[in-house]
Amino acid sequence: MIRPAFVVLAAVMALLPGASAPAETPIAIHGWVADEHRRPVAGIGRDEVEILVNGAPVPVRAVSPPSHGLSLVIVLDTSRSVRWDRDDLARQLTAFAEALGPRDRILLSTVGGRQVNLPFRSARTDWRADVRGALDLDDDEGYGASPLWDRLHDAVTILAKEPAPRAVLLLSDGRATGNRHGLADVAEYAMVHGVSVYVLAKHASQKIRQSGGTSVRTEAAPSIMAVLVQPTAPLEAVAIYTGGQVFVYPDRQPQAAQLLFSSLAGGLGALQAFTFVPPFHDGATHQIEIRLKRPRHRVHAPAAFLAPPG
Amino acid sequence: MTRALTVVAIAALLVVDGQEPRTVFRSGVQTVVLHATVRSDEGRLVPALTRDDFDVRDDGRLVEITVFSADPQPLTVALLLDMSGSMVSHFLRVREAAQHFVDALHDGDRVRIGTFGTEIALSPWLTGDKRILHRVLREELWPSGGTPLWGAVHAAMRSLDGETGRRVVLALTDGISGPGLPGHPGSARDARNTAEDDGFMIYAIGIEGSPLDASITTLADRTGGGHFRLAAGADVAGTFLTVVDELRHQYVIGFTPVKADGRRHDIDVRVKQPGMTVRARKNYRAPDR
Repeated sequence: MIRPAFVVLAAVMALLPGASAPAETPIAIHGWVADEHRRPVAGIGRDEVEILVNGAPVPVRAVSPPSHGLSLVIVLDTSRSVRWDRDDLARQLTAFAEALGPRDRILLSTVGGRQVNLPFRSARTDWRADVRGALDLDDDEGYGASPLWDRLHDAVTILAKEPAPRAVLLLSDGRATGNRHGLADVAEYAMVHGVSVYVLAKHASQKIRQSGGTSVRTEAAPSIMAVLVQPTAPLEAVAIYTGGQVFVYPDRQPQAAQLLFSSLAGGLGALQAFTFVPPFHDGATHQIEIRLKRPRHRVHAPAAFLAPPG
Repeated sequence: MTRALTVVAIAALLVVDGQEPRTVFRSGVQTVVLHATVRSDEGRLVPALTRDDFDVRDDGRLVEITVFSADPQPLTVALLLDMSGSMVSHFLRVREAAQHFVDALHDGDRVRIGTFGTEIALSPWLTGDKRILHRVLREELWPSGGTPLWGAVHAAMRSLDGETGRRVVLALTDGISGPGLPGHPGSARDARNTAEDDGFMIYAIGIEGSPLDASITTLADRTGGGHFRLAAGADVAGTFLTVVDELRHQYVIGFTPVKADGRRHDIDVRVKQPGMTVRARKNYRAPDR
């Protein structure tokens, strides 16, 4: 008795609008491949790639260069808790921008008391005056809040109007305060709009001892005697989720900083579009993993995507 | 990460933000409103007093109580957490205590969380949404820096400027105010003038270490708030809850100013029954006709 009922139900469902098999809507996820030495790898064939959605393989339609140049928003933290070597950073950012592709564009913005959003310009321009100008703003900063998540949210809103690939490069100490948006909201918002978040973190971790003896016991941590304060940890979570990366900025080491920027430009310059047809058309977030069949190679790509609605 | 995001989303669904309308008493040209805490000699909060149990004097003259309520009033609190270098060893305790404070909020209560240390940062959220408040405590506390206490108190009061009814600044710190920060004006004197003229109520909790800055304990007394000094290992969360309990049991008392002369007037509030002490603001600025 049950089986015929299912048959009838299936037949009825098939007649309802929207109940038919969803159209195959391919999705392109942007990422780049790094070899064992973390160098970008070009010329990847479709057959070399595996894409897993929620752990299950899906057919790979294409692996191809992006059809547009990169749209990159650089968010520079000018709040008082961050100290930059202005000339050095201006020089490094200009060299980084020059190493990007001819179609790539950059928008420079700031986090701090006075927010700046310069318009998109070709990446290959001299950014030194703009970077210096943005950094000079911190002379007027009022030691106020550092709403990093809100500025990331703003950057994603700007990028959502631009063609893919899209990325944010945040230069900050990671000490986010005074935000209207939360970390998880911003990570989700960036993922939904296909924006990868890259971070150059100014500050490393700090281990702080908690006051001595049994008095330090708390409900959450009955025996913790020290706590590791890691401003980069939340940034790393956003970066991993959105397919970006986090680097600790090498303070007062111009050559190391140069190498870091060069490596970052190399990765962004090697972005590929990995196209597949999602097995779900439910408008929901799904886990995705893009793998290369070559050993010791890694694909830097988002950890989730938004399936199209059914 | 996906799981973490899902957890956040599920948590969001559990938040119920039903707000019942409550009467908010505010000072106006014709009425001065104050909030009074009554404790017995044993230190217990005394509930269920009536209008007739109180005497109020304006510059020494007995005045008629025109507004009275013993009903719990919603909380509007700027919670300031000291993140200075000397507080880092208490970081976990402070955060956990603040979490308990948030958990103790009722419908209609609203809190803005702020920190001071390297910077003075006030959340844009003045809310009773516990999901948001817990997020701020989880994501936006960063220990380091000095103790710009007065700049922070001043900024916290200014952040409540547009609010009506009882406005409370509750500061958790470990002692003496340090140098201020550029862009955040406000000396102890400025803070006192603003608090007294605009009717803010100041509470201070001093965590173990140096004694609380005398200026802030005086200010707490003058504004009808309170101050607590915690011994080593004392229960920070419990002290926060004491403050919440106290705020919930305050009496609302209103009277008509004896003179509209633009001057600061002394207020003296007493309970007629013996064995009880009252804390309430010590003065108000009369309207200038």
